[in-house]
Amino acid sequence: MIEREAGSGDVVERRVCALTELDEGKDAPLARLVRFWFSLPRRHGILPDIDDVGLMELTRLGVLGWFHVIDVHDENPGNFSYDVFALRGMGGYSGIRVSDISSKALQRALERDLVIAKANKFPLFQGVSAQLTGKGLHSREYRRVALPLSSGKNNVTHLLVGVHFDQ
Amino acid sequence: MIKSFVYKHKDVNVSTSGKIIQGGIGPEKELAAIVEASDIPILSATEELQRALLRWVDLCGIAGYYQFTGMVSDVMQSLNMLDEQAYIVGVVGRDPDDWPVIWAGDAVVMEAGQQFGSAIIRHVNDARLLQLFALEYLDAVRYRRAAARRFSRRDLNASNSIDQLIFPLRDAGAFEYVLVHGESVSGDWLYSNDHLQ
Repeated sequence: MIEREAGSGDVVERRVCALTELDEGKDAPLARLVRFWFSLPRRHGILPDIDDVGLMELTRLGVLGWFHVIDVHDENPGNFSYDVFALRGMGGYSGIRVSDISSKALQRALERDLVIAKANKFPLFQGVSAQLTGKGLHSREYRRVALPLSSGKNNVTHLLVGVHFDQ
Repeated sequence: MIKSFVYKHKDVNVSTSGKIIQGGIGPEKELAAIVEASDIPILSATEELQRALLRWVDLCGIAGYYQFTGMVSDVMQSLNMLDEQAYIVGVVGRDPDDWPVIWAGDAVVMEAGQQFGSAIIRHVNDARLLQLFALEYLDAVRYRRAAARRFSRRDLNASNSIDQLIFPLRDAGAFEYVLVHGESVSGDWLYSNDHLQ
């Protein structure tokens, strides 16, 4: 099923995909990231701990510059904030909150997706198509995987979000 | 992988297995200090370090070294790989006492021309920590891969740690070097802000 958010000329569509649809050839970095998540130790239940995610490991996985770390402690998804914003990403920076994102359609889509990822306690893999009008119309197709992490307990406090764009 | 040493006083109980040795009896046990190197936790990796690592990956990948011709400091300067918290060490043999500091930024408490081993001992006063630095630098040139490491030393009185990116370099004559970018995490090892005052 495709979910759609639209407004002010922006359109964001997402489709939740099964992990088995993750194409090891097309989206190799995301596939490595998912395997990495499954391989992490579980000290507090079913969730790995954010402290076990290291810079070098993410670099070796080939995702340096292509991942966010989002703090999802807050009950209000508008207050979810990017502890790390993908260095190669556009339209954001570390510290930005979801509610600070200028495109309302993108903001609503993200809030909804991140809440689902937080509640699932399991990797959420999606195909995303975004047409945004800010600073000129641009269109992007990408796949995204959100991996839940905890901070010492079994609640989801962070999401490690990898993105992989079509060339 | 975590490489660590635990020791009491001087040369007791040294390990590079990644396991911490908690041996010892009597009051010595209370003096145990843990020295270790581990991956840098992503939540505390600064954007500056991440950008430096990304620049390196774009330059030559995570596996591999950067091969150059000319003066190492000039070449790195031309690639914008040097800043006040960087230094370059020549890796000559296995003994860090033989390794020359080729270049050091203003915030590094070492100077070009010093021997790396003695300079480290002067500033951190811990032979195990020097061994850990040397192991990581040797691994970087031997296996031709960059590394991001957090070096820590903890005892009952203090906790010091620094984050370092370690990049292997080789010149046309097959001499090997490491370019090291670093930041203090806690304590005041190796990097000083005095130059800003």
